[in-house]
Amino acid sequence: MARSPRRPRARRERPPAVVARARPSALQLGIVAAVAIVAVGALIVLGNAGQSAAPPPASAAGIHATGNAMGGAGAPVTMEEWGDFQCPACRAFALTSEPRLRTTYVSTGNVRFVFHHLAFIGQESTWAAEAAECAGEEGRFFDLHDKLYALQGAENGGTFTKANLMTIAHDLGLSSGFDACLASDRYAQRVRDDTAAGQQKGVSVTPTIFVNGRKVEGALSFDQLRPIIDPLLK
Amino acid sequence: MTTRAVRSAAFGIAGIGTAISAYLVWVHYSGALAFCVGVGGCETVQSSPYAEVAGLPVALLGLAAFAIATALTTVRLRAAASASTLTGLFGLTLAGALFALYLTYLELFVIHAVCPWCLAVDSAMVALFLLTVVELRGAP
Repeated sequence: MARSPRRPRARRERPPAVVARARPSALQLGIVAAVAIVAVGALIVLGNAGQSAAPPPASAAGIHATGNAMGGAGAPVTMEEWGDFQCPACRAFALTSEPRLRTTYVSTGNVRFVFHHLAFIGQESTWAAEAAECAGEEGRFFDLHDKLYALQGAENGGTFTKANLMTIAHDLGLSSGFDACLASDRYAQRVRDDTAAGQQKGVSVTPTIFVNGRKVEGALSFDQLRPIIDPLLK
Repeated sequence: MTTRAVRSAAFGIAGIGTAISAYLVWVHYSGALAFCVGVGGCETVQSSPYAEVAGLPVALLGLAAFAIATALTTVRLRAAASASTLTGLFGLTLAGALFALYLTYLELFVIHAVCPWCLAVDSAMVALFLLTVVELRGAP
């Protein structure tokens, strides 16, 4: 098809007056910078306003515990948790899901809850695990368990040194036997054995919970656990 | 570095930042890190009380900022982009970079755990701000 001769299209040049300014003025930049700084300040203040003290520890009081197990041996459902006292997800589970599990299922004799150590985040995980076992000698495993999760700090940041663990135990009213127990590393092997047993069962993350043998990974909420537990009670 | 190269780099970084932020938002809502894998870092940071501001996940704020930055840098790939997009990018990335530095401070000195993905998006935001300053200084 023959192309009709066309006048070459002249590139339209805008008159300088209407060309968009390519560079913002110093005043514009100053105003924007001030707004940005105020906005970030507000965000930081808002964020800090949302911080609150550590939530109150869940109470283990009133439920019979033997060592690391809570609830009757004849309960139809056994929940076995592998956890680490330095693990934030275990903390979330301990402080939000466990209190309701205890009042709904453990205190009613339907669930026996057992805590095993998977002390894998560092030295302070091992010390904290040993401390819980020492508290277990006095029937206070879960009291210390709850307290440790409530007080959890930065990983291996000094929260769970032996000296601090002794102070925490004294605050809970544990006897001087606790100090001797922790100082002697009496339960170091037990903690290692627990960790090894968990790894043999395929536990690679914490918390991992076995509900009558069914493996559940992560900090499940009470409402997520209910449909797993209830059918086992029928 | 030519203006075109600066704009292309900003566009690329904004895109990468958007992708990583989207991943962090997904992690936040899926609860995929609601367990500990023993290597520390992201699960500590993401489950810390600082992971939310007034109920909004920080990751979501990051995603919104990077999405807007991507839109602005896309517009600025055109040669005749207006000054207002550059002003907007300057304000956004300045706020973003300041907040990123604050979050990095929290990771290092308050939470005592460093999440590599969070560091990546923080660095991307600071880089975007620097590129915006470079363009402002070199703009005709």
